[in-house]
Amino acid sequence: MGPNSAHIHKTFDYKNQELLKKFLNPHGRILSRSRTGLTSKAQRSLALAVKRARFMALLPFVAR
Amino acid sequence: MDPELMRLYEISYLVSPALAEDKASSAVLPLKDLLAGKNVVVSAEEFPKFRRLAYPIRVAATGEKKQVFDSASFGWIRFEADAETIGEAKKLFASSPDIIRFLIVKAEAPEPAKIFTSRSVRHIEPAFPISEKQTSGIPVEPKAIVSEEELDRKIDELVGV
Repeated sequence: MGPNSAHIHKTFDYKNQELLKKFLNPHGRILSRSRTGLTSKAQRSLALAVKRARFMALLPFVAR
Repeated sequence: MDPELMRLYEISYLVSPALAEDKASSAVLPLKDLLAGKNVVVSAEEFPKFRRLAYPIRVAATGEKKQVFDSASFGWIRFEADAETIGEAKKLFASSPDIIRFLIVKAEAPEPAKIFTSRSVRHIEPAFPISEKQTSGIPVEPKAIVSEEELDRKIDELVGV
């Protein structure tokens, strides 16, 4: 489960893959809002950051 | 749209592993020349670092067979520029044989990526800043002197005897 840290993470950077990995399940899919506990705005920022990181091959599209 | 409008852009790129890590930064030299020619100041930058890719990237060089890369050097550069400059930068990267993939994004925050710190090491600010002035401003009530009998009477009153 991703850290419940809505008050810390407002925006996500696609280069910070160690942080983004905490919000992915073992298959590399983005966790749902109910699992991450993020605000709506932060969750959208997370989704964008993960997709950018995937394009730059920093994160996998599919794992295993 | 105003062509003179300056925006903060960030370009991240993957340099082919054919270039060694210490020589990978030479792949962005054409961009650096372009920026220097336009008097654009680089606000933040990270030099290419060699790393394994999360999945193999297939790139077709012009008129050649597709090449598969499973490692590359990842770096990024951040600068403020107008639309014309970023268009030229895009052409430079697209035509470069050493850069296997790149991404141009509009950067929001002026500061570079922050490293994640766990909650336990985070500094917690007090909800209300307590300053010297505030505490001294509060009038201190003088303590009333109460005799023994008066105290007993008060206790009896409260107990309801």
